[in-house]
Amino acid sequence: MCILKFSAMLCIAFFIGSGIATDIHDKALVIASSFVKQYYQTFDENRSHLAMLYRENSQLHFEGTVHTGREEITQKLKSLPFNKVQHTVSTVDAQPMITSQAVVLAVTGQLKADDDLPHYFSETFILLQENGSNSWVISNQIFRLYLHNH
Amino acid sequence: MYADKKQNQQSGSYRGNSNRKSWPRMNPKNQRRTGSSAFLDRDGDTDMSGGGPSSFGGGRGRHKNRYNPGYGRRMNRNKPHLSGWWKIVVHDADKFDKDHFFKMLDNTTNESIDPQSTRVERNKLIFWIKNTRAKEAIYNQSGKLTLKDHTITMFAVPSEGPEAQLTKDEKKGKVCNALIKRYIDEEKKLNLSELHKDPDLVGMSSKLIEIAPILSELITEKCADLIQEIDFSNNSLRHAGCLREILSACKVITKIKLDNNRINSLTDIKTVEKNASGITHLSLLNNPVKNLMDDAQYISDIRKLFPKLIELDGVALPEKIKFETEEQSVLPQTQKFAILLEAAPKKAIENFFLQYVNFHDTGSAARTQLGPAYDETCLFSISVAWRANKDVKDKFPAVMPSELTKKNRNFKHCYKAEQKESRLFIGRENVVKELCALGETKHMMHTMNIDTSGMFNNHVTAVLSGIIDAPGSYRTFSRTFVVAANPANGSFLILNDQMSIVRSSPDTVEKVLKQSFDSTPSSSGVNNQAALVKQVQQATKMTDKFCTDCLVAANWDFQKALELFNDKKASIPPDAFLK
Repeated sequence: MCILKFSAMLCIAFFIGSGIATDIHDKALVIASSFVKQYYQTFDENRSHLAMLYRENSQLHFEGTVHTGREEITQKLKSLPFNKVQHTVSTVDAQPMITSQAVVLAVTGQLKADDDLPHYFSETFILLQENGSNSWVISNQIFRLYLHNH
Repeated sequence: MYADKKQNQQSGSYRGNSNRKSWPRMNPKNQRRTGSSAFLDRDGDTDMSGGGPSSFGGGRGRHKNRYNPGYGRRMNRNKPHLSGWWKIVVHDADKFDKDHFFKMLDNTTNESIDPQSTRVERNKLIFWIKNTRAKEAIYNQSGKLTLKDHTITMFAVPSEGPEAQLTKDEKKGKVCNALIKRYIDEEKKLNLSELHKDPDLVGMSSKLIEIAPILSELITEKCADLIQEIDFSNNSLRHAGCLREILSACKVITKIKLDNNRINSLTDIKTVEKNASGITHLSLLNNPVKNLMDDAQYISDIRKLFPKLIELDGVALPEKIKFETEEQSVLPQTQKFAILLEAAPKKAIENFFLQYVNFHDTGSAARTQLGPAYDETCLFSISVAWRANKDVKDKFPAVMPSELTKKNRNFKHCYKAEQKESRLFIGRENVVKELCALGETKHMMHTMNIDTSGMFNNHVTAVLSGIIDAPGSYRTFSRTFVVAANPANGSFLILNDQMSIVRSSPDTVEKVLKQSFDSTPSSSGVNNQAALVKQVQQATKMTDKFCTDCLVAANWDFQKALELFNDKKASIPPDAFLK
């Protein structure tokens, strides 16, 4: 697997409050807001930079279609038929998965593509910490758009 | 904001007064001054009994705290005003000519003003008078006098006496004295806390904001290369802008304290970031900014501004955790992530959830039967966003339903960690209790989608989304479940349950109802009856009752109901229709 270098390297750093958050509960609280902010910011600016968050077996369910693996997912995201997009997040909630040391992150909000009216969307992420390192990756992602404007 | 700490000996309180016609209609630029206008004394020698109706309710003193924002703050209003001097402050000194001004004052007030120590400071004309009647007259004229189209606003505050107009050097000398005793050589620390109370600085205006330039000069001259720590606490600072010169002068500063100030957001300390980004210790205790931001976000943002920080608010910061999207080397193959679900398990899960939804809709009490579907150590939380809107139709209320308000764990509104913890329900018993506490729900099945995604360890993520018809509101919801599948017997246990609710917009619901309008209902179960009523309502715009009657007459046949309606339209009373 060749090491790909992207022109803009994303490095999302976030920090914990008092004490080291080894507990998955605390980790869930800490990464939730930062991840959401960073993800949608990157998505809105240049969604191909999101590639690094996915791994071989990551899955994206997008409006019913399934895509597995970094290449497929990146391809799908790139091929979405809009030039500019803007996400506004309304709700964020994160729960830990205690036995698996993962985090379930549920986001809803509105997105506005090109000159469309804004639509509601909901997106769920399952985030995992990679073996041995401190970085988090997306294991599963489910996206649904409510095609009703407000 | 209301009280300069030196001036809290005002002896009067604001009382409703018919003469104060100018109070609510002040020069818009000075609206922020309305608070300090409450200082204006209505002491004994004013005639309170006269005058017409008081513009602020009641007569003398009766409703004195009704419109007075400063009321609660001035409990020591009965403290005697010993010196008898009044300091008069006139705003926008650049807009008028002083001589004209004093002449006009003399003419309109018929009192001898006799101003002392007149000066202009920071665009305000300041002078002292001892004549209380003159002060009353001035106070009455505020907002009424105009000079060259500019309305003059004046304020009077009790004062010790005319502040000598000190030369710059004199001021500098005083500040230098103050600094000498505040500099601790062993720690290389300069303590500027509570500068305005410093005894060495009596007789001059000594707020940190005002003497910052003098401070920076002195610091540059004497100890710029030495100071490592400065304490700016207790100085009512809203903004760190005034500290710019001080901070840029200090070349080796590593510790800054800003406790007990009025910093409202992190942009207010931008100056600190620009001039002292290499600090290792920072303290912002007791500043509003901490209550206005999510804790984790606060810490994260601060560390972005000050990358070398090792201690924040008295607590050591541990090493960073990175969420890195940089390419790592080849991943260990053993780590499994998502697995593709095959058709059969997928169907099984969908059925599982359809059953779940059915139980849910049957009623709050029936939800106890959902207990066995949950694992012992399950988790449940609710996250809500409820956008208020101008429409006031019954099913689109502007206010979040009460059963949701107290449980809302939306990170965008729920800042404190303790609150987030208390709103995460753990354990089967707790979760089922919460489910039963939710009101009635009716999932509109034709709006629902179920997405399932296989995970590691035989777990599955399922996301249900659609619209719930709840009493009093339509809710667009998205419910995320993480389920552990037992491959042996095909049963499922819910590990995580997260419900996100958003208020449905009228457009959405209209479309949804319209969709059900297009599809003909298959049976006439209770749910369908309700849907039919809605459909008829959509078409005929009659009230619920009339629609139901119409449908009953048509034997719950939609088409027939419409026909009936069209036939009888002429004879249907007007109050059968929705407004």
